[in-house]
Amino acid sequence: MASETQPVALADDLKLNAPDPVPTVAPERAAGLVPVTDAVKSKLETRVEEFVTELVAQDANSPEFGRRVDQITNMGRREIVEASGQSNRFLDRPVRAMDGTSGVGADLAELRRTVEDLDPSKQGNLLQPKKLFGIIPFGDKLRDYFDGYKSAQSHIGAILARLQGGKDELLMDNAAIDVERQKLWALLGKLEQMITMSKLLDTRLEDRAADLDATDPAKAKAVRESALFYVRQRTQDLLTQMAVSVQGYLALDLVKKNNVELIKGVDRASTTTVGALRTAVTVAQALTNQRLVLDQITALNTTTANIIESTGKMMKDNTARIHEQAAGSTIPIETLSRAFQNIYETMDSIDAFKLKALDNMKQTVTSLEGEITKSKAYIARSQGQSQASLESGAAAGANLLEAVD
Amino acid sequence: MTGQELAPPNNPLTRLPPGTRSLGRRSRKLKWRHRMRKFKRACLAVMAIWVAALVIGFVGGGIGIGGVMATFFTMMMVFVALLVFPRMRVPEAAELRGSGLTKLAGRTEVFLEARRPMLPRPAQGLLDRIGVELDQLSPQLVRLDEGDPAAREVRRLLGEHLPELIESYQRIPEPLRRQAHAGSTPEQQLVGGLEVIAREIETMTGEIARGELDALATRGRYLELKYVSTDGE
Repeated sequence: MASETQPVALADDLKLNAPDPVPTVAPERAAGLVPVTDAVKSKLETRVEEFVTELVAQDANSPEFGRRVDQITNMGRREIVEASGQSNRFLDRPVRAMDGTSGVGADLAELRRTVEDLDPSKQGNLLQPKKLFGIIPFGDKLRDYFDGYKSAQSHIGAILARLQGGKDELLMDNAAIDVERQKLWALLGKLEQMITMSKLLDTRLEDRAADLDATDPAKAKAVRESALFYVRQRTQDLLTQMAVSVQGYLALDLVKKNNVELIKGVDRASTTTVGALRTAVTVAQALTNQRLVLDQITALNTTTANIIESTGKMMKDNTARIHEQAAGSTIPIETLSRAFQNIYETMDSIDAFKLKALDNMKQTVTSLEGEITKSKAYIARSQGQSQASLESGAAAGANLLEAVD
Repeated sequence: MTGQELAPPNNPLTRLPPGTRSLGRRSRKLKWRHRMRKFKRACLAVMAIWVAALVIGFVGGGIGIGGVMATFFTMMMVFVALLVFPRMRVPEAAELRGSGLTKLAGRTEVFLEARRPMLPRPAQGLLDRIGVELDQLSPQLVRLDEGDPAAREVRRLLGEHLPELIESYQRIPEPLRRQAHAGSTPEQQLVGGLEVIAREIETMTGEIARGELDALATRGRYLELKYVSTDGE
């Protein structure tokens, strides 16, 4: 890592960790992940109690009974539809940041290519005098080399500025993820409430049916066959959606963590690049007494406070050392080579990170897509019901089976 | 002249009678535009008559005092007539379905206004509420793309479900409207349906506004991430 290249080592090690893929959440384990407060729970209990009492009071064959059973099939419809909309939306997120052909990935690749052209270790022996046809002394290799910086600086400056833009985009993505997660969390709370409610309904209806077995077996049968049947179906729907949403919630966090790591990488790549360029400025001064003016880079420094801070610290250590070593002129060149090595190491670790992260992300997306396909059937069903309820106007009137705000 | 005279209960209005109460700002705006158009037309007609009289007088060597009086009288009559007629046309259900998103809310309001006097009292109250909801929905619709699924939903609700509900109620003969059928009276069914629609319009407004709400929240969080915390977390 960077710490091995001593003189131009950065203060801390760059370690980019690809977060682990999100495990598949089984529907039966999805409930209970989001807490429902006791106050809400007792409110739900009263509602369920009231609903069951009203249901049992109706004649089992009356349309009124049927209307109440319809309410069960509609239970949590809005929550499920809303949650499914959100689950689908973050599927297109992961790919964006990791795309190698555009944005941050492309800029990093370009930066690497440009920087490689300036690498002193690829220039042969810079201290050897330059000779025309190998005989006549002509010009100064070192001076030519440092002139290369002047022509490259605007290009590097542009790439670094683009990288900063890319970093801002990643930050924006993370902000959007934060907002989405916040909303998803609220939605998960609602889903959890509906699950609690449908489980309560299940037990209460079961109890009531058992009571009715002795007095009114026909009604007990109706309660079991229609109401209880739909309650159980609904519980399954809700649990499936909950599983998908929880997984999506975790996947969003994964994307966010990846972005944070990538931002760190971009920052470090910029820092090491600017560091190398400033080392070059110092080395040029020490070796050729040439004032290498890299305005573009200096201008960049003033805009990115982050870079100033870390490179400034690094440079303070280095400048003194380089001037000390200027007498033995191979050492400053070595220092410069190491500065370049630093850039490569940063980029290599970003590449390694991206490979691992992409793999984890793919795993997450695949399992999430599988879950979403499974839950789609339920969503289609609940959407059909919503249409039916709107067309018949049946949803009018107070509905007891709704989440508490 | 009242709405009742113009259109018997079973015969839906095709022209909006003057002085109909506006359900919302949108319909008021549409009506104002219609009135301004009529005013312009009336002014132009008056000018045309004046010019015609001038030409006739010039060619025929004067129109005499009788001619002047006749011209003046015609000008007055035409001006008044053009200010009153044509009355604003009430869009039909099919037109609502086809109208652009920008005018959809306003036209729906006009549609409802024309039918308001013919509906039972509780339904009238709900129409007023729908008018308020439509006013809120309207500015959102302007920003919405025609191909957006939300736009389709709005069009379905305002262009199909709402007019169909009201028209199918109006097709029921007056005496039967208060007799129970299929569990409740048609009046109750109408009110129930309108309630659902009013609530749905409100939900849609929220739904469409959510994009804007998210954008603002994201921008705020971004600023926080960029300038307040340094690690991007």
